[in-house]
Amino acid sequence: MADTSRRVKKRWIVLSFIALIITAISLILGPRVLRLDRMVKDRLEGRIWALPAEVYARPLELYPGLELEAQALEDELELAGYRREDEPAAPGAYARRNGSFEIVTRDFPYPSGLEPSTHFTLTLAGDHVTAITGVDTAESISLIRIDPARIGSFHALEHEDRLLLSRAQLPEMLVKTLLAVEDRDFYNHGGIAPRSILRALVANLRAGSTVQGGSTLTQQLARNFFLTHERTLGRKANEAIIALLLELHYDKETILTAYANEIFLGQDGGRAIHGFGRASRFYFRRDLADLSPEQIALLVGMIKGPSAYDPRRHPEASLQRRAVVLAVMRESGIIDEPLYRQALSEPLDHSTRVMKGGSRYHAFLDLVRRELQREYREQDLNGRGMKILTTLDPQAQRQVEQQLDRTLGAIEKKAGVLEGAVVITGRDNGEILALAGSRNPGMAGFNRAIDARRPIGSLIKPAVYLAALEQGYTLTSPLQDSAISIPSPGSQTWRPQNYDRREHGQVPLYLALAHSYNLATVRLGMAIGLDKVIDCAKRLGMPGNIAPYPSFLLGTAEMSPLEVGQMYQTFATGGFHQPLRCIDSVLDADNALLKRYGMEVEQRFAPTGVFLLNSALQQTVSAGTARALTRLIPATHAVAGKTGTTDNLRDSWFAGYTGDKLAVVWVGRDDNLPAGVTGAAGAMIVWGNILKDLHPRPLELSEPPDIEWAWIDSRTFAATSRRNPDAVALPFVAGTAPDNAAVLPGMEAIEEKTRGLIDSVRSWFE
Amino acid sequence: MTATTTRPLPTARLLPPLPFLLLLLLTVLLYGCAVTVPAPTRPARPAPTEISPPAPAPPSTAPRPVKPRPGKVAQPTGPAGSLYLEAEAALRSGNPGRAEILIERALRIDPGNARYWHLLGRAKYDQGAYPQALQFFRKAESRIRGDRELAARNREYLQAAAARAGGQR
Repeated sequence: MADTSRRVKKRWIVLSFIALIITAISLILGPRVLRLDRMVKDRLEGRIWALPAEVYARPLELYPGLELEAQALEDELELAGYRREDEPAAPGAYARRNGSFEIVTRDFPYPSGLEPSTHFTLTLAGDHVTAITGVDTAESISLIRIDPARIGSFHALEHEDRLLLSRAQLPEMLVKTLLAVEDRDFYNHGGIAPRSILRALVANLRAGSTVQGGSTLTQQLARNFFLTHERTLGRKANEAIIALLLELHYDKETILTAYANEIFLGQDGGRAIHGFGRASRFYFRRDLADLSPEQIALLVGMIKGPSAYDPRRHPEASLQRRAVVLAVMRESGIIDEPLYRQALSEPLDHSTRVMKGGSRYHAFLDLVRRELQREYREQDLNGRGMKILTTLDPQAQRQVEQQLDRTLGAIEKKAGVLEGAVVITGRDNGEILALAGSRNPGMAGFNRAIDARRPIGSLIKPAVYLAALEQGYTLTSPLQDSAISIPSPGSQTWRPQNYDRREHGQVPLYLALAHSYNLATVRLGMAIGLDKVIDCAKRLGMPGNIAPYPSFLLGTAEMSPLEVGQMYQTFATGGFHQPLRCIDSVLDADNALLKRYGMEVEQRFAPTGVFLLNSALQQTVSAGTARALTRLIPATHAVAGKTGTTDNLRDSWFAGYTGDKLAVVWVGRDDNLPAGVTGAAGAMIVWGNILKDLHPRPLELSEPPDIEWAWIDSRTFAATSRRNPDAVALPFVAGTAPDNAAVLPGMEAIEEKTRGLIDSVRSWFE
Repeated sequence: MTATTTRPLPTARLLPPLPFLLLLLLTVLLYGCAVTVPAPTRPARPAPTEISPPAPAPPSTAPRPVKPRPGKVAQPTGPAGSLYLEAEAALRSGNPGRAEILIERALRIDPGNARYWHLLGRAKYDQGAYPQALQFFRKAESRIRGDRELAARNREYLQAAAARAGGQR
């Protein structure tokens, strides 16, 4: 009895002691555990599942007949992360052979649906695509597109670049290798594995240095995720608590996925490479799913020391580590002996060219972000894993970046360092193809294309002349280019001057525009009324409230290059207002279409007036202030454009369009001091240098049916014979051509085609 | 008419209007022979302010909402031709949203093609977006060159869209 009661008493003492210890530990650790628990939930749910929005360029469309240089195609492929191989077989690979390419595209989710990977050959001859043939089907392909390059991502965290994958996207071989190397008991332990720690301790003591880690994947995740890199006992304790909490809240697969997306695997300049997905792209230019066993071994091996085993910087150490991992893979039965031997003998095939993680398109991405922020909250933008398909044309963008800086360097005078901004859009669809907010594309900063509002000078004149043409003026209506003074109540009388400070007397309307005469323009604008001109400018797309001062006629209004682009788009489309767009569509993380930014047009001008004006803008290039442009782009391309220069040569502008592209260039100084160049000597040269290498299509204006052509003497602006050396063919609205003019009904094209025939027939009579 | 970006040979383009060209040639020729010296001493033209602006077109009588017929269209060729056919099929099977995406892609490749603008108008029309449809038919109209069949059908749709857009604006 006494024995029993003593035993009971003893048990009570032990139980009380245990209860006391538990209470003490709870009291001491309780608040810390609660704090860490909140942190685990906040961080995990707020971060791992915060997928960044990925931004893509436009896909490159390929079809027989397309003008395309081999190098341009290769550049596009490289930018889209394609790797060059001898025998491409897996998606995202290509081979370049004499005059032909073999390409395997990747699956890509377009708004019209998922487009599966295609394996094809493409033949080039004389900078044209001549044939596209499916490799498996041997059938010719009439149209195909390359999945677009990823040009950036919107992520809450700066300086980190990752590509998040779901558990299903993690290749089984990678998972098995990872567990075999880092945590064999992953599926059995509860976050920490005391036996592993002991085993590691013994091994390390025996070796006299750290040869084995005892941390589970969960602990590593805790470490990688939350804490600094200090090594203290307190931190170890926190790490263990967090590991236990992670296991408590999340299942094994979730933890594994988080680990795979979170693990630090190297450094790309200022950007940390996190996760296997991004690391695979960074080191091998392939998707994780396409990795070979030795590549998987290399990545898993790098976890131990991303810097020490960097295959680019330390190829020897990297190879040795890879061999260790491959041996583990063989032992664990992940790969068999022949595969092991083959993998062991493979050279390090990491891409020697480092692929930059999309930090080049600052100005364009800035615009995309602003557009999206109108409709999405910041956290949605950063957190929903959206795919944003944009209109950026990487070829046009590269041309802009190269030529803007190069040309500015060439035209810079003593005046100091010039800056510039460029906008390029598709002439008929209003898609923004390229954008430069600075001559230094690598620098994020003041985006002049959007934010620099400068007086537009003579770029306003087409609005004045279009208003006049709408009022019934013709291209040969005589204008008086002579001094004018306009009194304004309460301030000085305004006495505008021509750029050359001369008066040119009576000039036909189209030449007054082509030569950008100020006096004739002011007289014209005052004759038709400022209100009419302002109304015209607004319909063209000029934003904001416009004060009705006469000086408006000479371009005192301040606009950004993008706004100018919007205005000139209306000319380029033949009178249709078309909102400029930089986003095509937005897809969610599951590739469902969230929003499409479809094309919109609105006819704001009768076709005839705009057609006449566009013809006059072609004269500006062929015979006016922009004549020198024909040295860069052949006169046969019939480019339409307008130069702009502001007081004391502060701003140099050129806006113009070809058959397929519209571009606006501004050149000036940030401190608003004189830039020292006119529109023709600055912006126009930049414009020509950019466009000349973009295979511009010749401009063919759509001619309205009620247009007729007449030969006009460019000196007397009266009707003349086409044999007059000063004769120029000009279009008129039917019935408005000068008296006695031999009117040719429509279709300048027909007239042109018959010219040779007429000449030969005429020669018989002479 | 062809719907490609490649331009037809000049001779091919010249053949159909040959009689007209010969007439034109004759006129120009005769004119060229008759007037060899331009008249440089022309009196100044009347002041531009005196030119009366062209009278605005009388408001057209409200077009009756006729039911336009999709009709048969010549097979488009060229790189985006397959997209056009696919878009047309999507339209026929009652999926104008998909047709819109396809035809916008076609327009990116071949923006001058009036037929594509017309089809984009029809995609909008079938979605009940009549004001925008009307605008695309106008755009198509500005791009039609010589294709009378397309011009007539586009006109029909344009009027129908205008009639329906009236209530939507």
